[in-house]
Amino acid sequence: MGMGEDVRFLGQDLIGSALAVEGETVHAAFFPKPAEENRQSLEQMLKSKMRAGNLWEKMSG
Amino acid sequence: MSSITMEILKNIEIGKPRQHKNMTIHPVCYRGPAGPDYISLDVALEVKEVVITEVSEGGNVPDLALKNNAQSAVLILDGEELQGAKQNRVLNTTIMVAAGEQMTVPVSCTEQGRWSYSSREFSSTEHVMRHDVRSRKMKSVHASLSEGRGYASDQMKVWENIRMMAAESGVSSPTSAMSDTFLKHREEVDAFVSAFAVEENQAGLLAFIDGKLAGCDFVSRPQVYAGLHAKLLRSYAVDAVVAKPRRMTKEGSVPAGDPVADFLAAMAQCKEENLNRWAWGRMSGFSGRI
Repeated sequence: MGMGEDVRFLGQDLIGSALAVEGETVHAAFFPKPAEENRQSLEQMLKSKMRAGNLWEKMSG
Repeated sequence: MSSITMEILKNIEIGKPRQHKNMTIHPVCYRGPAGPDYISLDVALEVKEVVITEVSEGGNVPDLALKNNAQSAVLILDGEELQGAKQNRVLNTTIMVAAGEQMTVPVSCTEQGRWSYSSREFSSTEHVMRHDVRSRKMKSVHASLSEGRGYASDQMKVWENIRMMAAESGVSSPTSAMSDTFLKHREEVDAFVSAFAVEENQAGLLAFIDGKLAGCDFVSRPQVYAGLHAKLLRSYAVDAVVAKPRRMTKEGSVPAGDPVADFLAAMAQCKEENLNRWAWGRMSGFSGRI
């Protein structure tokens, strides 16, 4: 798919990817490694935040 | 240390930081070979040399059709958002499309509440997906690749993260569009963009928000980066404008210690995996060539 090689990085603190074309790195991106997400707790936080802004009721209604 | 990581560490130069409110940006220069000539997606779309559409009249959420009619290759970044057609999408991985090539590209939906045509062709937006949502999407694409499922993201998590973004910003989007959150903060975000003008030979950025690492992006050609600079900055600034109330930290906080050295050390410690795109393309039904 497309030109070049897809390179994936994974470390203790970082996650990243790079695209190497003809052996040269043309793009790379690195981010702090996302924490493991707990779907239930995220949804609870979301509902709580949306209620605070009365948005949950608007969207539900 | 692996080969691409070594090459990056040998050639990357990180400049002096600049600060605006709670965001710190270091310009990144890349001294390595630039590889083949290429242009950015925005340049190609502006002159209508790239056409991006749904894959069929009915469309398919995780795939878009792309035709590059330009004389040069086109670079499209992971997280760049496309608007229009049946719903807005972001790219699931960085792709370079050769001149004349036609292919199917893997994407995630960023507008859960619309599945009807607003235009036949996609156009570009002024931003890349917010950095933390992008990193979570990247993590899910890593997992998909390692499980042999191609460049698929966890679409449910992408939507969930977009809803979180909207909730944090007090945005109620009629179509749950990520772009509405950027629109809400446009004035404040553009103040960040104005504060960090692109520097000579700059090819990327290293960003910190509230003193914490937010991310790093660079390309091999400074002239291409100049066109991407504002888009990438917005992906960090849109977080910075909501970070203060969320994290309860004082405005203008700066990274402690030597954050650049810490970042480079963390990069050096990363394990690297090279993927043959042609093989992944065959497995997942994508067309194209190496």
